[in-house]
Amino acid sequence: MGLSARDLLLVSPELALVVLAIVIVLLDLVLDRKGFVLAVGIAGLAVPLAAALGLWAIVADGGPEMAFHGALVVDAFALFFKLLIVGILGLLLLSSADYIERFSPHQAEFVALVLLSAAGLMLLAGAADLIAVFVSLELASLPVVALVAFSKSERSIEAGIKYLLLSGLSSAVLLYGFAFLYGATGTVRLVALDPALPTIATMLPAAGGALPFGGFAVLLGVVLATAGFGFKLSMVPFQMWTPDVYEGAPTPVAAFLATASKAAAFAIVLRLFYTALGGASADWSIMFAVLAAVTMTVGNVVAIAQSNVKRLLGYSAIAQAGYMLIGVAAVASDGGSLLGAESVLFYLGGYAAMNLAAFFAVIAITNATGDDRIEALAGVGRRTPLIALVLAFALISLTGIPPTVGFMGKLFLFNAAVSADLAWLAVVGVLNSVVSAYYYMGIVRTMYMREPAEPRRIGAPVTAWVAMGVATAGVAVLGVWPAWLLDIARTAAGSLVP
Amino acid sequence: MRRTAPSMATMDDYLRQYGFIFILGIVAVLVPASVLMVSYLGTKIRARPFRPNPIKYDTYECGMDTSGTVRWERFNVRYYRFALLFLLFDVEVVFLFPWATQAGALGWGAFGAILVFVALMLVGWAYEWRRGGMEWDETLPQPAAEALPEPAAVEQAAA
Repeated sequence: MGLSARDLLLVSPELALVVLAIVIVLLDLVLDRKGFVLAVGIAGLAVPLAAALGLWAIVADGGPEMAFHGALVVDAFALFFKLLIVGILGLLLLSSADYIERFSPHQAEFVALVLLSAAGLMLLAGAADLIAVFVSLELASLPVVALVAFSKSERSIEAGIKYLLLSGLSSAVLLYGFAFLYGATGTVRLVALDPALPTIATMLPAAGGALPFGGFAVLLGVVLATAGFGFKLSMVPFQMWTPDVYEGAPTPVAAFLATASKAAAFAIVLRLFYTALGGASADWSIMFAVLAAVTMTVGNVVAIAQSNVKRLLGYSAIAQAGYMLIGVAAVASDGGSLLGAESVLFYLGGYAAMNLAAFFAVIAITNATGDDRIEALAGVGRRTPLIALVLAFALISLTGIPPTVGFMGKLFLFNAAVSADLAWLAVVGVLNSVVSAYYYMGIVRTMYMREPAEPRRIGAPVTAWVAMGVATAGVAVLGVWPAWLLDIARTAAGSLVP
Repeated sequence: MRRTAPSMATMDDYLRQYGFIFILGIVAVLVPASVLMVSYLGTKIRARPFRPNPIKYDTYECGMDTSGTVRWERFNVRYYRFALLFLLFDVEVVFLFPWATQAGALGWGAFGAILVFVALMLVGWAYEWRRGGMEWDETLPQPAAEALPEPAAVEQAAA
């Protein structure tokens, strides 16, 4: 027993993030200049990035490895998410250089909390048993509560308390579900490299009979766990918090919740259902298909009525989660093809790029205008042509119009649905894309066709330009040349099922 | 995960520990009950004097004069920082004790791990210290004075 150097090597990306967070807090205590905090944070991200890339090379050569007596697994799937989260973090910190000035003198705490939450999300992607899932989920959620309330305005604190209460409630529900899964199977293990070790997959009662999942306990466990994860995914009917929290939270935190947090939640949902409950895929596939259809419809229809751009992005995040749930539901009936899982991974990568581009543009604009109503975007096309272009391009991608990654991602998702005999779900998805065009294009129209309320031009710091440039380039490049990310997504999804 | 059934001997030992708690519970009820009983009987034979006064009926508060009511009392928000600080060191010690009892057997690896743990706690302590968490900041608002009942009212209620 005890931990070995190998264990530490395998968690080096998370370890590097935690150490970076502590270094930032300590440096902030002894140094007076605050500008360095962000620079150290961004430069320091090179360490977890390098560690994750190194582990990718190790895993590509020698196959997946387990750390901490089977609590964590390091495989291509987990590393895909770790790299994605580090990338999101880097862009997010770059874009919020101006924004976090308003938190003075607490910029260091802000950056450190973001890093700690990201470390939890990265652990979540590699969690190999239910206990590790729960612990890393809490590690990821708690800093976010403080971050959501960081603006200290009434709205921000209200959003923080909402997030705290609902995330606590969803954790309790999730844990209750885990208890049933453990009770029914006698193990908490999701992944085992040694086939002799029992996992939930091998201990699952045979499917069939009157009840789905072969028994009442597993059924209850799956339903409760889905409800618990549904909160993180902002899946209908657990989406109520999303618009309120996005509106109240500092915009970079909303962007973090919409991209990194959602990606890790999808990671663990895919891991739980494909790996541990893969034997009962016929039972949960239809559940996710219905949830996907309801989620995207509710998200898109309610988004039409929004007048605040952050609330609108919140509903957009709900709708986008619905699209991605199509991929979760699209597990082939033979269980052999991973088309659904790899299209979810591809979409998550593309979604991170386009959603971050949209959020960065909104951060840059609202930071200058101090007004996050959609009306305040009137004439932004004239006040700042380039930022408006970034936002317009991101919204085109979120709608799913070529030549953007949004189009490619939806193409793969709908394709996976059709090949899994869920053609009706693909039709619902296409109809929803049409509905979403109304409100996404509504913003574009407001930006370009309306007269500005005031002629003052809007600028952005260099770091924000870099972040917007990289995110926009990601949207464009993946839109015309998706093959490379698809290859990586295929490799990652391939490690999901032994 | 291999599950071995506990043998009967260990199971008995396990239950016996609850037996001790049960006996302790009985004693804990009996002792105060008998004291109260003696006191009650003392009243019956007029051996116990009855001279009430407000101070006698006051709530015991570490020897300080009682302020305000006992229930739902508003207290200064600054105490929460001290509570957090207390928690920091309290939790630290909770984890240090089990290690300390087995330090020799666990060896240097565990010693290194506990050093890392203490170092992490020190980070929290340094943060609290440098951020002024240990200062008693008099500029923060005090609880409203009128929220406290008058001392006379307290004495009346006690009498």
